[in-house]
Amino acid sequence: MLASGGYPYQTGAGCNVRVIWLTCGETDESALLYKKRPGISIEEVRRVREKEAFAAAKVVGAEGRMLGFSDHPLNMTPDRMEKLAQEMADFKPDIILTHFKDELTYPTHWRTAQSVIHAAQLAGVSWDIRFFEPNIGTASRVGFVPDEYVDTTDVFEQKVSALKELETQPDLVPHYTICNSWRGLECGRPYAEAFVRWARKPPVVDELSR
Amino acid sequence: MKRRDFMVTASLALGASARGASAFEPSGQADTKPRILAVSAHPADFCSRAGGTLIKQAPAATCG
Repeated sequence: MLASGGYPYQTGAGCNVRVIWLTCGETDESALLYKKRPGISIEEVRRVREKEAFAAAKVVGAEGRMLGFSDHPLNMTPDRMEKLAQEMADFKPDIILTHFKDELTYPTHWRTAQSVIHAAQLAGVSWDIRFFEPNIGTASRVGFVPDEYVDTTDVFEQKVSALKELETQPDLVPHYTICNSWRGLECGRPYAEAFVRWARKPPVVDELSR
Repeated sequence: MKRRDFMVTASLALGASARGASAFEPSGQADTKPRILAVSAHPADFCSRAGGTLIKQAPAATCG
């Protein structure tokens, strides 16, 4: 089957889907946990967030790998870069999804994107990298202009179920209901997720066609 | 003037690959199913940004 643009694609063909988390989000994205449980140790926060991450991945149908690097500041040392590259070499992805390469407003996301590009080169794996949404509300500021949308209407409720597993961040459900509805409006669907493709294979044609 | 149509797909389409020589050797894998990797800075990022897309690609979505 050919998608628009002439690329073969799989319609839910049982892909191997894996998530790698660089951090447990113990500093940047766990404010509610510290508020609800005063005195909680950072180790306990990491445990709670890791459990939430795997629970969400299970609902999505993905397997997970938690690397557990320190969050904010995320320092990608040479050893950590090699670890990420080895993970990529082991999995050998056809498509890589990650943060937007220009998300300078959120250094941890920006550094993750840079590290993924670098690690993919180190590992010699696919350069078919799709950048997903920057932090909610910052897309226009960092120049995130989608060039691909995936219609997620029929799985939106399942996505909400996955988001609810991330109990430390209850705002995700209302925020991404708005976001996915807006992206759907942009492409003429009820709900959609938006991407910017980095190393898209350019079409080669004999002549211009309409 | 007709509004430009963006690419909207039912699921991710395979694009460019640039595999080359590497010092990192894969540990070995036999199946040929497409492999989708999401690299997420924090626990929630993969799900909030691409959860629906991944659900459509994952085996659970296929098997219903």
